[in-house]
Amino acid sequence: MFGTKSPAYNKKYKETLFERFTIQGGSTEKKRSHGAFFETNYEFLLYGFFIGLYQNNRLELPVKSEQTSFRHEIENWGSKRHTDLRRDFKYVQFALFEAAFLNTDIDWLRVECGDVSIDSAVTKLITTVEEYANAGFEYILEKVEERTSTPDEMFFLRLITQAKK
Amino acid sequence: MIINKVALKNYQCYYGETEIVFGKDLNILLGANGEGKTKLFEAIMWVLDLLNKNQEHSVASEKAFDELEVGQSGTTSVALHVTREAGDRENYIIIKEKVFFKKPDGGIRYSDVEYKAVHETLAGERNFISDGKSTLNDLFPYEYRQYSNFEGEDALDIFDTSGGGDDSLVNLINLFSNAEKIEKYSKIFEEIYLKAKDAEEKASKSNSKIEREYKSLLSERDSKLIAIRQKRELQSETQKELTNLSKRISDFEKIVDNNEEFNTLNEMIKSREDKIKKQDLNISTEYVDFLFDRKWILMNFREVLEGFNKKYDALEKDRRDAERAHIQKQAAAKALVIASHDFTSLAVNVPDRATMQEMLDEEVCKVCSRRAEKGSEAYEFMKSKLEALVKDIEQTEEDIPELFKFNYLAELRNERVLFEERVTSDIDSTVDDIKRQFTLNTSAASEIKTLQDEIDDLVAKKSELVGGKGKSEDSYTSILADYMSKLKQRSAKEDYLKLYTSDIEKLKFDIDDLESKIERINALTGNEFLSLSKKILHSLSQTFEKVKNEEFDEILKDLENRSNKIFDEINVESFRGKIKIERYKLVSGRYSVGVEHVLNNGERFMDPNKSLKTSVNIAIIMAVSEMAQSKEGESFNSYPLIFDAPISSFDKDKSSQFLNMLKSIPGQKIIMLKDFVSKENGVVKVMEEFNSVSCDSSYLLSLKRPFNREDLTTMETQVRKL
Repeated sequence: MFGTKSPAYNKKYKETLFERFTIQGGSTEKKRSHGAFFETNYEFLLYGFFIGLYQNNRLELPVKSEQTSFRHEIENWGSKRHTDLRRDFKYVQFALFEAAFLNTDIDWLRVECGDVSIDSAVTKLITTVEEYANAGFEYILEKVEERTSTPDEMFFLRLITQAKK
Repeated sequence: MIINKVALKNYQCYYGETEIVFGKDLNILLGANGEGKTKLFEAIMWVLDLLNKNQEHSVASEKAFDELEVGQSGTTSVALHVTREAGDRENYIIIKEKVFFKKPDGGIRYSDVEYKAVHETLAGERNFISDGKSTLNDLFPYEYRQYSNFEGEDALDIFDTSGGGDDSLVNLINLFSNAEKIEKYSKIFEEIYLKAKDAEEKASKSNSKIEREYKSLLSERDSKLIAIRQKRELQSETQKELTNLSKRISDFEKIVDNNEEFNTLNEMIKSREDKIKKQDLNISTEYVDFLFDRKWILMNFREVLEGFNKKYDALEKDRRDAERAHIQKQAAAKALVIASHDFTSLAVNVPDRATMQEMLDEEVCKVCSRRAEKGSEAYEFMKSKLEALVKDIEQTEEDIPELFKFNYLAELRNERVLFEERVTSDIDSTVDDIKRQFTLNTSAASEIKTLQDEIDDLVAKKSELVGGKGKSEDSYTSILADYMSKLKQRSAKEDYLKLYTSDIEKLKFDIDDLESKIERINALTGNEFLSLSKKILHSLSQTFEKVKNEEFDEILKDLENRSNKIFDEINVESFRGKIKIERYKLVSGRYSVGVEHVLNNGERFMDPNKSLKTSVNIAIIMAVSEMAQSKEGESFNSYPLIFDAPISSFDKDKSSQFLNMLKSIPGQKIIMLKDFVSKENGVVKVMEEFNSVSCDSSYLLSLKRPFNREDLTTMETQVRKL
């Protein structure tokens, strides 16, 4: 669906959000006690995306040099899960696609005709994903900074349940 | 170590000199109540330096003392003749002795204790060693010694951790595992890591621009490190105090141990604690995981799904329409071309195929409204026109160029169907699922609160009961006050412990934060090589920590298996359940080991009888002993286990079965038993059933008749070999 492309995000969230709230191979127990509940970067990106989506907010990314590229291709998200406890990510990948498809202005008939390349269409889809996520991150950071204590799981759940336009 | 002989001199009821020789496996000393078993047990404890200080002062034989004139002195001593292993020719004798004097007022005065040892070499030389205790520690280290003796049936319960953090089993497992060795490596790596860190920091300091910031980060981190160390000390201190308090509290509780009501209260508390554990499991707060695993992230997705479906369906329709229009357009163009060299008025597809077929079937030309019977010229004309039309349609379909080169939308169709099948109902039920989880959590939490309140009430009742069992009115009040204050202290200590633990967590977080800032400066100043080395070393030391824990768990599993095997052997034909041994984390973050007696379905064994409880304990002790001897990789001495009346609750059949099983477990066992003896006309006799017990050596301990229990100078235990 997204080919071999993957989204990028605003560099400023690398330290303020991604490194803080994702576990990424560290000691799980320890990091969890510090507010890191997301297993991987892509889980956090999805979280930001859905918040932006549900709030119907999009925010353009800064120039390329201010972005952090996301090396893990969307197609491979979830593939690193080995435990039986966590289910696969196929459904969430397709949900991501549906949302991007719905909210991206692409003349699909021209794509089908071959007048517009599929590559440029996918690039547009990825841009949509990035913009929703970017708006989501801005909102998350604002809420994190309002807090005096370390965010807990309830905080993350509340943010997304309340994110409705 | 093997005890080959114990030699007593004027030790309490053992007047004069008494020697008892032991074999390397099972040794049994029989005796009725009050005939000297426990005194012999205590004598051995005395020389092993395991006797309570308050039991130590009156060790001399009353009879021997009575025979002294004023100013004269006598000696009390206990000597153990031991070898490192069975059959060893190098002997050691460990002697503990005290001299006693008769004072002018007829009272007794003791000299200080003297601990001596004699080493008999292979060549038969005798070396006297003045520090007998260090020889004892060398032959029989204290870590093992403290777990080698068991006075009475209750003493077997050394692994009960319900009193709050008994470390017996943890200590024992550490002895048998290589965990300590691993820890050494882990410490070495930790040290090298610190050195690497130091080097890295020194290198960073050389850059003057950032030096100030760097220095302040370092000093802040160091002060946090000092704070964390102090908190850890407090934590460990409090944990120790807690352990002591729990022991004291359990001592108090023993006062009323036999009280039925007290036991019932304990059971009620335990059952509520079990329920709390179960309710704890019901509480799930991994909300972030649930976002993905339980698809909560799609909670507001319904609108998107509908929007997508609408857009997709419209696109597909547009695509079909465009395709149809394209074909029609092409076909019409083609038809016009065909029409130009046939009838000028009608295209090849007018009338259409169905109409043509209808006209042929009815043998009527509906264009000119005339009949056209089969075989007529008009009929043949219509037939050839239909054939031409069919041929033309086939040709047209082949010839029209395709409008769409790709069919991405069709590829999506399958995925879309799959997605809808899998998640549509989930999307709708997500909000309910979240609510359900919250309801579950809330009800479990409130259930826990109720149970905790009930426990508090029960504990209060228990305290009242403890007070009610005092020996006199005075001690009654003071015991109760003391007990209550201990309970209060324990709860306060527990609160402190939690506080320290959370403080430490917070400090760790701050330190991590500072470390990452320091790390960034290190990276900026080009110390990547050092940074990398440091990281590698750090991960190595963490790996060692992990291996240490795994090793520990492996040993626990081994212990559990062995314990169950022995447990099964002790209780061959009876309903028994299983022994479960598990590691769990204490509030302080340290590990402790819990022993539980469970049914085969894993539930806790409620109200096991005393004999079953005892066999659980014995099975674990034997398993530990067995493990000690099968330890690989280094020469490992076995140590004797000494029991006084360990199986009082067993019936005779079970006792002999148990003793025979014990014989088959390697290692020296010295057991004092009141079973298998009977008194006939004041004479102590060994019962016939004892013949079925196989052992290395057996003795009957009995007081020399006649004697007067009120007059200790008449009490003298004699030892007869059976």
